[in-house]
Amino acid sequence: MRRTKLILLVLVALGAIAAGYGLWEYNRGLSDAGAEEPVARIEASALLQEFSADEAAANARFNGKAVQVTGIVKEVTAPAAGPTTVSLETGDPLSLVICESDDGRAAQLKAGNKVTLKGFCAGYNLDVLLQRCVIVE
Amino acid sequence: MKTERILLLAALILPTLLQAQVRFATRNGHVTFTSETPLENIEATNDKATSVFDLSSGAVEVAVLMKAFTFEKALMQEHFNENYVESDKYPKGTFKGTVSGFTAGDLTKPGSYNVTVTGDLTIHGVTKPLTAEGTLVVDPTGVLKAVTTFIVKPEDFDIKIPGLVRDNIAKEIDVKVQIEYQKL
Repeated sequence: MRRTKLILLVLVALGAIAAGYGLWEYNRGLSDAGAEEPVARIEASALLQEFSADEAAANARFNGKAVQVTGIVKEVTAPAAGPTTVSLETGDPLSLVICESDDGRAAQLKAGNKVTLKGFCAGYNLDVLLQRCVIVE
Repeated sequence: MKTERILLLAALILPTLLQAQVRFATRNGHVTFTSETPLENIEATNDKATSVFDLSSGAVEVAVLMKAFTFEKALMQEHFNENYVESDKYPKGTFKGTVSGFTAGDLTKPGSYNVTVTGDLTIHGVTKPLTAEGTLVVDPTGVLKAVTTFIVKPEDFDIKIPGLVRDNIAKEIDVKVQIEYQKL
Protein backbone atom coordinates (compact mmCIF):
# COMPACT_ATOMS: atom_id res chain seq x y z
CA MET A 1 0.00 0.00 0.00
CA ARG A 2 2.75 2.46 1.01
CA ARG A 3 4.73 1.29 -1.95
CA THR A 4 1.84 2.01 -4.35
CA LYS A 5 1.48 5.47 -2.84
CA LEU A 6 5.18 6.11 -3.31
CA ILE A 7 5.08 5.03 -6.94
CA LEU A 8 2.03 7.21 -7.53
CA LEU A 9 3.79 10.17 -5.91
CA VAL A 10 6.88 9.68 -8.08
CA LEU A 11 4.69 9.41 -11.20
CA VAL A 12 2.82 12.60 -10.29
CA ALA A 13 6.13 14.41 -9.64
CA LEU A 14 7.56 13.21 -12.97
CA GLY A 15 4.36 14.24 -14.73
CA ALA A 16 4.59 17.70 -13.15
CA ILE A 17 8.23 18.07 -14.23
CA ALA A 18 7.38 16.98 -17.79
CA ALA A 19 4.41 19.39 -17.92
CA GLY A 20 6.54 22.20 -16.51
CA TYR A 21 9.25 21.58 -19.10
CA GLY A 22 6.65 21.40 -21.87
CA LEU A 23 5.14 24.71 -20.78
CA TRP A 24 8.57 26.35 -20.52
CA GLU A 25 9.53 25.07 -23.96
CA TYR A 26 6.18 26.19 -25.44
CA ASN A 27 6.57 29.71 -24.04
CA ARG A 28 10.29 30.07 -24.73
CA GLY A 29 11.03 33.43 -26.32
CA LEU A 30 13.44 34.13 -29.16
CA SER A 31 16.99 34.52 -27.92
CA ASP A 32 19.61 36.84 -29.39
CA ALA A 33 22.87 35.56 -30.87
CA GLY A 34 24.91 36.57 -27.79
CA ALA A 35 25.64 33.05 -26.59
CA GLU A 36 26.21 31.56 -30.05
CA GLU A 37 29.62 30.66 -31.46
CA PRO A 38 29.65 32.31 -34.92
CA VAL A 39 30.22 30.13 -38.00
CA ALA A 40 32.16 33.02 -39.53
CA ARG A 41 33.81 36.28 -38.55
CA ILE A 42 33.63 38.34 -41.71
CA GLU A 43 33.66 41.88 -43.13
CA ALA A 44 30.27 43.19 -44.36
CA SER A 45 31.60 43.59 -47.92
CA ALA A 46 32.92 39.99 -47.95
CA LEU A 47 29.61 38.63 -46.60
CA LEU A 48 27.67 40.35 -49.38
CA GLN A 49 30.23 39.08 -51.91
CA GLU A 50 29.64 35.50 -50.74
CA PHE A 51 25.90 35.86 -51.40
CA SER A 52 26.16 37.73 -54.69
CA ALA A 53 28.76 35.27 -56.04
CA ASP A 54 26.89 32.05 -55.13
CA GLU A 55 23.63 32.52 -53.28
CA ALA A 56 22.91 28.80 -52.80
CA ALA A 57 26.37 28.12 -51.34
CA ALA A 58 26.14 31.16 -49.05
CA ASN A 59 22.64 30.10 -47.93
CA ALA A 60 24.01 26.69 -46.99
CA ARG A 61 26.94 28.21 -45.13
CA PHE A 62 25.28 31.07 -43.26
CA ASN A 63 21.47 30.82 -43.15
CA GLY A 64 19.98 30.28 -39.72
CA LYS A 65 23.45 30.40 -38.18
CA ALA A 66 25.21 33.03 -36.08
CA VAL A 67 27.53 35.23 -38.13
CA GLN A 68 29.84 37.93 -36.78
CA VAL A 69 30.14 40.84 -39.17
CA THR A 70 32.31 43.97 -39.08
CA GLY A 71 31.61 47.09 -41.09
CA ILE A 72 31.06 50.83 -41.26
CA VAL A 73 27.59 52.03 -40.25
CA LYS A 74 25.70 53.62 -43.15
CA GLU A 75 22.41 54.29 -41.36
CA VAL A 76 20.63 53.54 -38.09
CA THR A 77 16.85 53.51 -37.77
CA ALA A 78 15.19 52.95 -34.41
CA PRO A 79 11.41 52.62 -34.82
CA ALA A 80 9.03 53.14 -31.88
CA ALA A 81 8.24 49.42 -31.88
CA GLY A 82 10.48 46.57 -32.94
CA PRO A 83 14.23 46.21 -33.27
CA THR A 84 16.74 48.89 -34.29
CA THR A 85 18.09 48.44 -37.81
CA VAL A 86 21.79 49.06 -38.37
CA SER A 87 22.80 49.12 -42.05
CA LEU A 88 26.42 48.41 -42.87
CA GLU A 89 28.31 49.65 -45.93
CA THR A 90 29.41 46.98 -48.40
CA GLY A 91 30.99 49.08 -51.15
CA ASP A 92 27.90 48.33 -53.26
CA PRO A 93 25.34 51.19 -53.25
CA LEU A 94 22.44 48.82 -53.99
CA SER A 95 23.08 46.12 -51.39
CA LEU A 96 23.84 46.45 -47.70
CA VAL A 97 24.23 44.18 -44.71
CA ILE A 98 21.18 44.91 -42.52
CA CYS A 99 21.47 44.05 -38.82
CA GLU A 100 18.34 44.02 -36.63
CA SER A 101 19.08 44.36 -32.94
CA ASP A 102 17.31 44.80 -29.62
CA ASP A 103 20.66 45.68 -28.03
CA GLY A 104 20.14 49.13 -26.48
CA ARG A 105 23.55 50.26 -27.73
CA ALA A 106 22.52 49.76 -31.38
CA ALA A 107 20.42 52.94 -31.41
CA GLN A 108 23.44 54.95 -30.19
CA LEU A 109 25.50 54.06 -33.29
CA LYS A 110 26.11 56.80 -35.83
CA ALA A 111 26.87 56.72 -39.56
CA GLY A 112 30.60 56.26 -40.05
CA ASN A 113 31.13 54.24 -36.84
CA LYS A 114 33.02 50.97 -37.21
CA VAL A 115 31.11 48.19 -35.49
CA THR A 116 31.14 44.43 -35.05
CA LEU A 117 27.81 42.67 -34.57
CA LYS A 118 26.81 39.06 -34.22
CA GLY A 119 23.40 37.86 -35.41
CA PHE A 120 21.48 35.06 -37.09
CA CYS A 121 21.65 35.20 -40.89
CA ALA A 122 18.20 35.16 -42.55
CA GLY A 123 19.48 35.23 -46.14
CA TYR A 124 19.85 37.54 -49.13
CA ASN A 125 17.03 39.60 -50.60
CA LEU A 126 18.78 42.61 -52.20
CA ASP A 127 20.49 43.00 -48.81
CA VAL A 128 21.97 40.38 -46.50
CA LEU A 129 19.83 40.27 -43.34
CA LEU A 130 21.10 39.42 -39.85
CA GLN A 131 18.54 39.24 -37.03
CA ARG A 132 18.62 39.24 -33.22
CA CYS A 133 22.06 40.85 -33.30
CA VAL A 134 24.21 41.83 -30.35
CA ILE A 135 27.01 44.35 -30.51
CA VAL A 136 30.37 42.63 -30.03
CA GLU A 137 32.46 45.82 -30.16
CA MET B 1 20.29 33.81 -59.85
CA LYS B 2 20.48 37.48 -59.00
CA THR B 3 17.11 38.38 -60.45
CA GLU B 4 16.36 40.88 -57.69
CA ARG B 5 19.59 42.81 -58.23
CA ILE B 6 19.08 42.88 -61.95
CA LEU B 7 15.47 44.01 -61.46
CA LEU B 8 16.49 46.80 -59.13
CA LEU B 9 19.26 47.90 -61.48
CA ALA B 10 16.79 47.82 -64.36
CA ALA B 11 14.32 49.74 -62.22
CA LEU B 12 16.93 52.42 -61.58
CA ILE B 13 18.28 52.69 -65.10
CA LEU B 14 15.26 52.13 -67.33
CA PRO B 15 13.27 55.24 -66.33
CA THR B 16 16.03 57.46 -67.67
CA LEU B 17 15.90 55.58 -70.98
CA LEU B 18 12.13 55.35 -71.24
CA GLN B 19 10.53 58.45 -69.82
CA ALA B 20 7.07 56.85 -69.89
CA GLN B 21 7.99 54.25 -67.27
CA VAL B 22 7.30 55.13 -63.68
CA ARG B 23 8.59 52.68 -61.14
CA PHE B 24 8.20 52.33 -57.42
CA ALA B 25 10.14 50.11 -55.06
CA THR B 26 10.68 49.26 -51.41
CA ARG B 27 12.88 47.03 -49.30
CA ASN B 28 10.75 47.52 -46.15
CA GLY B 29 7.38 46.02 -47.08
CA HIS B 30 5.29 44.44 -44.32
CA VAL B 31 3.93 40.92 -44.66
CA THR B 32 1.90 39.43 -41.81
CA PHE B 33 0.20 36.08 -41.63
CA THR B 34 -2.26 34.80 -39.09
CA SER B 35 -3.48 31.34 -38.23
CA GLU B 36 -6.59 31.29 -36.04
CA THR B 37 -7.91 28.13 -34.41
CA PRO B 38 -9.91 27.56 -31.21
CA LEU B 39 -6.70 26.20 -29.63
CA GLU B 40 -4.36 29.09 -30.38
CA ASN B 41 -3.74 32.06 -32.62
CA ILE B 42 -0.37 32.35 -34.31
CA GLU B 43 0.91 35.49 -35.97
CA ALA B 44 4.17 36.17 -37.77
CA THR B 45 5.50 39.39 -39.25
CA ASN B 46 8.17 40.26 -41.76
CA ASP B 47 9.02 43.92 -42.42
CA LYS B 48 11.80 43.37 -44.94
CA ALA B 49 9.82 42.45 -48.04
CA THR B 50 11.28 43.83 -51.24
CA SER B 51 9.03 44.91 -54.08
CA VAL B 52 9.19 46.64 -57.44
CA PHE B 53 6.01 48.03 -59.04
CA ASP B 54 5.91 49.35 -62.59
CA LEU B 55 3.08 51.81 -62.90
CA SER B 56 2.95 51.84 -66.71
CA SER B 57 2.55 48.07 -67.14
CA GLY B 58 1.11 47.23 -63.70
CA ALA B 59 3.84 44.60 -63.24
CA VAL B 60 4.67 43.88 -59.62
CA GLU B 61 7.17 41.64 -57.86
CA VAL B 62 7.48 40.93 -54.16
CA ALA B 63 10.08 38.77 -52.37
CA VAL B 64 10.46 37.82 -48.70
CA LEU B 65 13.01 35.82 -46.78
CA MET B 66 11.12 33.06 -44.97
CA LYS B 67 13.58 33.19 -42.06
CA ALA B 68 12.75 36.87 -41.56
CA PHE B 69 9.23 36.03 -40.33
CA THR B 70 9.22 36.70 -36.60
CA PHE B 71 6.90 34.83 -34.25
CA GLU B 72 6.01 35.49 -30.62
CA LYS B 73 7.38 32.14 -29.51
CA ALA B 74 10.70 30.56 -30.47
CA LEU B 75 9.15 27.11 -30.85
CA MET B 76 6.65 28.37 -33.45
CA GLN B 77 9.43 30.02 -35.44
CA GLU B 78 11.57 26.87 -35.30
CA HIS B 79 8.70 24.63 -36.43
CA PHE B 80 7.80 27.08 -39.22
CA ASN B 81 11.36 27.17 -40.58
CA GLU B 82 12.50 23.61 -39.99
CA ASN B 83 9.36 21.53 -40.50
CA TYR B 84 6.84 23.51 -42.54
CA VAL B 85 8.40 25.90 -45.06
CA GLU B 86 11.88 24.27 -44.87
CA SER B 87 13.55 27.66 -45.18
CA ASP B 88 17.04 26.18 -45.49
CA LYS B 89 15.92 24.51 -48.71
CA TYR B 90 13.51 27.24 -49.87
CA PRO B 91 14.78 30.53 -48.40
CA LYS B 92 12.41 32.86 -50.27
CA GLY B 93 8.74 33.37 -50.92
CA THR B 94 7.98 35.33 -54.08
CA PHE B 95 5.06 36.81 -55.97
CA LYS B 96 5.19 37.91 -59.60
CA GLY B 97 2.17 39.36 -61.29
CA THR B 98 0.23 42.39 -62.40
CA VAL B 99 -2.00 44.96 -60.74
CA SER B 100 -5.09 45.94 -62.74
CA GLY B 101 -8.05 48.24 -62.22
CA PHE B 102 -6.27 51.59 -62.35
CA THR B 103 -4.66 53.86 -64.89
CA ALA B 104 -1.29 55.50 -64.41
CA GLY B 105 -3.15 58.83 -64.61
CA ASP B 106 -5.30 57.87 -61.60
CA LEU B 107 -2.26 57.63 -59.40
CA THR B 108 -1.09 61.16 -60.08
CA LYS B 109 -3.82 62.50 -57.78
CA PRO B 110 -4.48 61.66 -54.12
CA GLY B 111 -7.13 59.02 -53.52
CA SER B 112 -7.86 55.40 -52.86
CA TYR B 113 -8.21 52.95 -55.72
CA ASN B 114 -9.55 49.39 -55.60
CA VAL B 115 -7.38 47.09 -57.66
CA THR B 116 -6.97 43.41 -58.47
CA VAL B 117 -3.64 41.60 -58.20
CA THR B 118 -3.12 38.51 -60.33
CA GLY B 119 -0.02 36.39 -60.60
CA ASP B 120 2.02 33.50 -59.30
CA LEU B 121 2.84 32.92 -55.64
CA THR B 122 5.81 30.68 -54.84
CA ILE B 123 6.27 29.25 -51.34
CA HIS B 124 8.13 26.09 -50.33
CA GLY B 125 9.24 25.64 -53.94
CA VAL B 126 5.63 25.32 -55.14
CA THR B 127 4.09 27.91 -57.50
CA LYS B 128 0.34 28.54 -57.54
CA PRO B 129 -1.78 31.17 -59.28
CA LEU B 130 -3.15 33.86 -56.98
CA THR B 131 -5.79 36.54 -57.45
CA ALA B 132 -6.44 39.03 -54.67
CA GLU B 133 -8.31 42.27 -54.16
CA GLY B 134 -6.24 45.20 -52.98
CA THR B 135 -6.13 48.94 -52.50
CA LEU B 136 -3.69 51.51 -53.83
CA VAL B 137 -3.64 54.73 -51.86
CA VAL B 138 -1.96 57.89 -53.06
CA ASP B 139 -1.63 60.24 -50.11
CA PRO B 140 -1.47 64.05 -50.50
CA THR B 141 2.33 63.99 -50.33
CA GLY B 142 2.42 61.65 -53.34
CA VAL B 143 3.44 58.53 -51.39
CA LEU B 144 2.02 55.33 -52.89
CA LYS B 145 0.75 52.69 -50.47
CA ALA B 146 -0.50 49.25 -51.43
CA VAL B 147 -2.51 46.86 -49.27
CA THR B 148 -3.80 43.41 -50.12
CA THR B 149 -5.05 40.40 -48.20
CA PHE B 150 -5.45 36.83 -49.35
CA ILE B 151 -5.68 33.28 -48.07
CA VAL B 152 -3.00 30.63 -48.36
CA LYS B 153 -3.71 26.95 -47.74
CA PRO B 154 -0.55 25.17 -46.50
CA GLU B 155 -1.57 21.95 -48.27
CA ASP B 156 -1.63 23.75 -51.65
CA PHE B 157 2.07 24.43 -51.20
CA ASP B 158 2.91 20.90 -50.16
CA ILE B 159 3.42 21.99 -46.53
CA LYS B 160 2.71 19.04 -44.28
CA ILE B 161 1.44 19.69 -40.76
CA PRO B 162 1.96 16.73 -38.39
CA GLY B 163 -1.16 15.22 -36.81
CA LEU B 164 -0.08 16.23 -33.31
CA VAL B 165 -0.43 19.95 -34.07
CA ARG B 166 -2.99 19.68 -36.87
CA ASP B 167 -5.67 21.36 -34.75
CA ASN B 168 -3.32 24.17 -33.70
CA ILE B 169 -2.75 25.41 -37.24
CA ALA B 170 -5.51 26.79 -39.43
CA LYS B 171 -6.22 25.14 -42.77
CA GLU B 172 -6.49 28.64 -44.23
CA ILE B 173 -3.82 31.18 -43.32
CA ASP B 174 -4.70 34.88 -43.66
CA VAL B 175 -1.92 36.88 -45.29
CA LYS B 176 -1.76 40.68 -45.29
CA VAL B 177 0.71 42.68 -47.36
CA GLN B 178 1.25 46.40 -46.70
CA ILE B 179 3.78 48.25 -48.81
CA GLU B 180 4.80 51.89 -48.83
CA TYR B 181 6.58 52.50 -52.12
CA GLN B 182 9.28 55.01 -52.89
CA LYS B 183 9.40 56.42 -56.41
CA LEU B 184 12.56 55.50 -58.30
